[in-house]
Amino acid sequence: MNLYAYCLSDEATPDMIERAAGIEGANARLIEHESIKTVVSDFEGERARVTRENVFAHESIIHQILARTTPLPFRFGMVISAARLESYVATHRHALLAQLSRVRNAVEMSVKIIWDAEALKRAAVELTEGERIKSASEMTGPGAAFLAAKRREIAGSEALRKQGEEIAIWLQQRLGDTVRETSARVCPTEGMALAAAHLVERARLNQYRALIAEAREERDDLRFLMSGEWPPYSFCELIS
Amino acid sequence: MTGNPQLFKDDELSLLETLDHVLNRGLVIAGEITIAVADIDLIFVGLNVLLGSVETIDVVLGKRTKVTIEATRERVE
Repeated sequence: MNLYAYCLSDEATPDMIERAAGIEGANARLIEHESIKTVVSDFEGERARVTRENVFAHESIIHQILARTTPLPFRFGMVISAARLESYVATHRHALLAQLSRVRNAVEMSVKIIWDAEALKRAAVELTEGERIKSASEMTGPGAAFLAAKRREIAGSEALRKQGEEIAIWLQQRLGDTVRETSARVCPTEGMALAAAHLVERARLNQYRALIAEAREERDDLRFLMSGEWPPYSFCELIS
Repeated sequence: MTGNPQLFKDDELSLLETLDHVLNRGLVIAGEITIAVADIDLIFVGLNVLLGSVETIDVVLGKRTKVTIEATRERVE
């Protein structure tokens, strides 16, 4: 029999997950090694199935802990033997406690900013063409046309990257010290200017939401997708 | 912003955001995560109309494959 591990905490108590059903319907429980508690459930087999029910069960169990304290969430699919888990906690005890201190009293908030990438690229290419790039129709031969198209593509991508970075800086300035830490990806996809995760103290969540609302008002050319509160998935860099 | 403001349905967005977090991030114990790529494909059925989801799938599958390969390599070594 293996275990399915959901999260780690030094403050979790059994009442936080009383009768909570986890992956494949198994009840969640706590096991403790050297003052660090791991939320687990019994698991038959070696591999968790990625189903809608299992994904939400994984998240639901961790959210029950998050409602009372901030745990370190495991990535989905953490099937492990009891002995291996105990060894991991013992080996990484100090690093895990440091990570728990880092995220204590905070939650993760997610902001994705979406833009009209095609319009931005067109505008950038038009500007660049005015300076030096001839359009493909003005070039002769398929090779020249290909190169011209390639240069337009690069100009568009560079413009997107630059504007994405400006948006990231702008948002960071708007949020100021409301966020404890930020983990951001600029232009993770062409349609997205920014995917940011913010570690926000629980006591400042209302302030954070108000600032995001203000930012949204300020930039009606962008679309904001905010979600949370999440466990600090983006602030668990500990790799064994 | 131009474009369709109702591109997402709430439940789809909720699932996509949850997937983005639970499959792509979080604490990892090397060598212990094993998820079949085929399983991931199943859960994304119906989500590919969402903005960015195709790219997200690529990223998730890419990283997941990498994790599995790296994990396997560690065990072999």
